[in-house]
Amino acid sequence: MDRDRFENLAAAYGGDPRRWPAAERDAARAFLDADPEAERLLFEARQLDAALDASPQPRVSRALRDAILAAAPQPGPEAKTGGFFHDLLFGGFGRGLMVAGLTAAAVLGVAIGAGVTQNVLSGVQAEAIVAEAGEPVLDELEILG
Amino acid sequence: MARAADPDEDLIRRVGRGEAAAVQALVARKLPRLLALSRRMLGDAAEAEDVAQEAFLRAWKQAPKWVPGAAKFDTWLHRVTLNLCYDRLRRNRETPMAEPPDRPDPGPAPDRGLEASELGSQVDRALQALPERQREAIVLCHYQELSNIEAAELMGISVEALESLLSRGRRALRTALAELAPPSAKSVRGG
Repeated sequence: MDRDRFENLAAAYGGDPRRWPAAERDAARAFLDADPEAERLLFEARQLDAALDASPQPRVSRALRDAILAAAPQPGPEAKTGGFFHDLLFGGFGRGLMVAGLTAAAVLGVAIGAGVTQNVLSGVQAEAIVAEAGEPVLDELEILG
Repeated sequence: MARAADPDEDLIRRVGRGEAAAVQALVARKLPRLLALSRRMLGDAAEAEDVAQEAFLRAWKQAPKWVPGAAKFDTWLHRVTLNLCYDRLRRNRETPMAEPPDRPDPGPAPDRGLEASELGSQVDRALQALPERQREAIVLCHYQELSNIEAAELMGISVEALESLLSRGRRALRTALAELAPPSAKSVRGG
């Protein structure tokens, strides 16, 4: 990099070499370290950068944000298949509730020496839960990551 | 050539499925940037809000059918916003306004003080006085912090042409601000 190119970069992109084209940053830093005049070349560009930064950042009003949110896409029909029970079961709170419930059921089962009858009942309940949730279970979990 | 990863890809997919948390996250991530872009391009608060709202309407329509790979979502959204800005700039040229655009003075912020607020207003006025393409180049590179390649691609020009616009724009700004500055400040502001 020569002085002309360094000066042209400062004139175009400003006084902070981090804003300069990625392909030329290393060469610019090397020039900056090697040439005592380089800092002086950046000085004027930095003054303008500082002035540009005084331009106030517009504030986002609540009314604008609410209007944009109100027009946003709603969940598609596949996400609604299970209805209220699906949401309760697989929503953020519902998932926690389900895990806690299943854990509690397992502990309780061990504690009272649950017999075959209760195991069968638990199985039936688990099947009912899965049936209620319907097919989108995997999709929903995938969406939630 | 390998495609650059799009940091918004997962978020857009979730927005397309109508996930409320993703919608809110996208608005939080993009709205301040889009509003700043349109405000600095148009120089008018109300028009900038209209443009930001319209850009998001288009984003909501696009999200369910967004196909990753063609462009980064942020680049697409900037393109949409710039097109909307240019539509309005063209319309405003065709129907000149009786009064200058509404530019309310936000007043001095406690942490910036009166001088910074005055300088900010002067910078905004100087930006509005620039030719549109020079203003666009400076807004994209300085304020939106896009890379030179992204900005040139958005503007449909070469990187060399972008550098020329930036240099001329910054030179004009420096001259304008030096003329506006009080004599005591001229030495500080490059006058």
